[in-house]
Amino acid sequence: MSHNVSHPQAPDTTHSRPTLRGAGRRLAPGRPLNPLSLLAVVTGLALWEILASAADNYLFPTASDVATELQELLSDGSLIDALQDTLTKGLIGLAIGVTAGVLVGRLMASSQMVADSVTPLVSAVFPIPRLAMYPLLVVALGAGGEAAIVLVAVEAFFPIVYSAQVGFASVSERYRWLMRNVGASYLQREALASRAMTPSLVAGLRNAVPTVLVVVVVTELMMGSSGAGFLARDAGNHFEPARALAVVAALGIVGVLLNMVMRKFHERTQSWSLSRQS
Amino acid sequence: MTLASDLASAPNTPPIALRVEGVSRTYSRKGRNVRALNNISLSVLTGEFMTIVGPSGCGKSTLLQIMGGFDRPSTGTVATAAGPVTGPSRDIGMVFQRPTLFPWWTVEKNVSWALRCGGIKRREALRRSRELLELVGLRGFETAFPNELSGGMQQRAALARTLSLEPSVLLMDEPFSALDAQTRELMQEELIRIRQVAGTTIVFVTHDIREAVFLGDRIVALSGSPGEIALELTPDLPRPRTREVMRSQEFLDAYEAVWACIRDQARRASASTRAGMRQGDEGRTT
Amino acid sequence: MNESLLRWVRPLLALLLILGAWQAAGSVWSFPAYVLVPTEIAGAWFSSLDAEMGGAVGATALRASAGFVLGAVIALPLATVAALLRPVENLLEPYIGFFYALPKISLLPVLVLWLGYSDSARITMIAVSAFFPIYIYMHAGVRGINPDYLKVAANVGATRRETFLRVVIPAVAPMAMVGIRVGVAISLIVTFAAEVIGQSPNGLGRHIQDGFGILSYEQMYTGIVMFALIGLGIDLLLRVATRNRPSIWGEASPT
Repeated sequence: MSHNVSHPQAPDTTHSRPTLRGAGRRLAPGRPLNPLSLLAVVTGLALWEILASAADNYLFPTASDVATELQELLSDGSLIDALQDTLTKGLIGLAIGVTAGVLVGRLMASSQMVADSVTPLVSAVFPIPRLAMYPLLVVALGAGGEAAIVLVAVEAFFPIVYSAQVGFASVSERYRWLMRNVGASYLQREALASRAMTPSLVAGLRNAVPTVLVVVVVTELMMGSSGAGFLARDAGNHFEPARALAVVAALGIVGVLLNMVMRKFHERTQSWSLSRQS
Repeated sequence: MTLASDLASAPNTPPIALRVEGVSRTYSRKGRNVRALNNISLSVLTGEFMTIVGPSGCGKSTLLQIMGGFDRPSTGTVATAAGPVTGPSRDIGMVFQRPTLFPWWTVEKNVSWALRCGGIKRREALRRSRELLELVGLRGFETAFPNELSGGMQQRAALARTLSLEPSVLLMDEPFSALDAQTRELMQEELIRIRQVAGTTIVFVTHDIREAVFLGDRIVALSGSPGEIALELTPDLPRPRTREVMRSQEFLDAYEAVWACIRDQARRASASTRAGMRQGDEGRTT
Repeated sequence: MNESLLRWVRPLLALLLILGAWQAAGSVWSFPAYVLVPTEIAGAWFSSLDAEMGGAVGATALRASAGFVLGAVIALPLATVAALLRPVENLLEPYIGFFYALPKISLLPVLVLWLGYSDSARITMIAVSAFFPIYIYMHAGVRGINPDYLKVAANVGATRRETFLRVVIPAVAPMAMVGIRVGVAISLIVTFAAEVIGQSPNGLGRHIQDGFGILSYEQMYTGIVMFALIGLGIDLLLRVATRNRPSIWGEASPT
């Protein structure tokens, strides 16, 4: 939920992480759909429709009911507003977390002493369920989006700090030497380092983004008064399962789209990696 | 008198250990049919050390996989003295390019497991595995884990495991390619020594012509795309082999013969790769 | 020996530095009431250790375990089958892909409508969340089995059962273990969320939520600390259990 697949390895730099490239490829649609997969989707939807209609129970809406609700939510603007709210909180939190992560990662990559001291701490803190701090954050920062943003920032920090550190450290010796030789200024060297660590950073972002979405939604479900999570909870409170499921469907689509965007982004920046070429 | 003829003349030993007849292998790749092997026929004599040599991609590994029953030919048959080869069996042992010892067991457990799968009781299996490990030069390393051993030692252990099957034919798929040059030479000599003791029939695949000529009683050169037998040689080199053999005229002639045969094929292969890369460059958009 | 001790010294010093600075800052500046210093947190935690707290920890642990086990029991075999049989994988792929991207917690309101504010709803939620990482890693593990291992097993004449028990399972163990570690971590977090959103009558989530309700900062902190201890404790246990022992974990140590 607030964790994503490569988290256990995220802060621990002493062991190599198992690669899940295959899984990532699989989970991002945009690959040509296999006919069997298409059949599975169509059959699933059809089955849902048939069974739910047969049950004829308010609690079990059909797929068409959910689709209708979704349309309504879109047309009256409430879904768009809610998603906007959710994504804004997520984006701000992500920006803060990424900034902090990159800075700390840079720091850790520059000094072995810092790395040795801080990395084990980050690894140690990582398994703590950070969501448990949310109520406290609400007490501190109020029930508006601030507490959620802070939590998102903290959650995003971990995968980013790891990938930023790895990325900075990966700028191979040869390039650093080359830059010094050519007389590049500090700013130019930092620019190179930033460019070089981007692929690793993007990999970390791919993990962070879905986590961010989940965290915001959870906070809205727990103590929120706006956003997609709130919308779902509200529908539940009003005994409107179709509406709640419509929100779920919308969130699912948002999640899938985000994954697709991140994947494209990742593929684009892969070629920037300097470490590979030496 | 070679070891091969010794065994061949022994009573009750079939003269031919493995026979390949008319084997072809076609793959369909991206809608096209690629012919990896074309009408290969050869017979491996009992006790013989046959080496199969060819450039990368000529299908020699495919041929070996088919011989071992790990792959089915599109046409043709493979048979041992025990009958036709339809699948993997203990009768034909395979040593792979990368040592495939199971990392979760010790070396001797790896070998004794192979024995136990053949129905041998635990204590006897352990005893035999230790014997085999001593034969391959791993005495003292029985309780080591594969991760703790060098590549060469792992391959020795893999060889021990395969020998434990007491197969009628031993297939070896470029077993020393992944090793560094010095270890490779050492392993070649070790293999010769082990074979002196065990007397197994061996079919050894390699891309290294010197290795092929040095080790083999009979050398089969495969040309690629599609793979076909281009040359069969049985140079008259003394047994047991020593390093000096490599300086003899007979050795050099054999080497030249094989190289000449393969050279054109290798040249053509590299030219098509270069053309393919250029085409790929042009076709790529950032 | 010297080196491994040294490895602990630096982070320990860093930790003490941070805690010390935190503590010192608390006595120099006056923090708002909801910010406690390390000594206060420790004190509150010690005094919270009673039967009630034990009950809360137990309830949460039980829920998390139940949900995790349920998710694992379905994920492990399903992933194995999908990795081995193409048609199954193709059937499942769109669903796995969609639900993986979905923030599954958003299903809780609907689950509550169907199952009420019950442990069935909460544990189902936990299971659904834990399912995915376990599935994905197990799937990768089975796919990633060195095919030569299976050839060796066939060469040696091992039976299917023998191959499965003695070759396949040890080969997938490292990856499966990673999935389990992630699954455990997720189970714990989702348990907290489900206890709060799902109005659990007991558990650590309830404990923290009550603290929030009566604005007892101590109560919230002790809940957080308890969660932290459980999370760290389980992670440590799993790490120790899967420490680089080639006899079980093969090449890829999951830590």
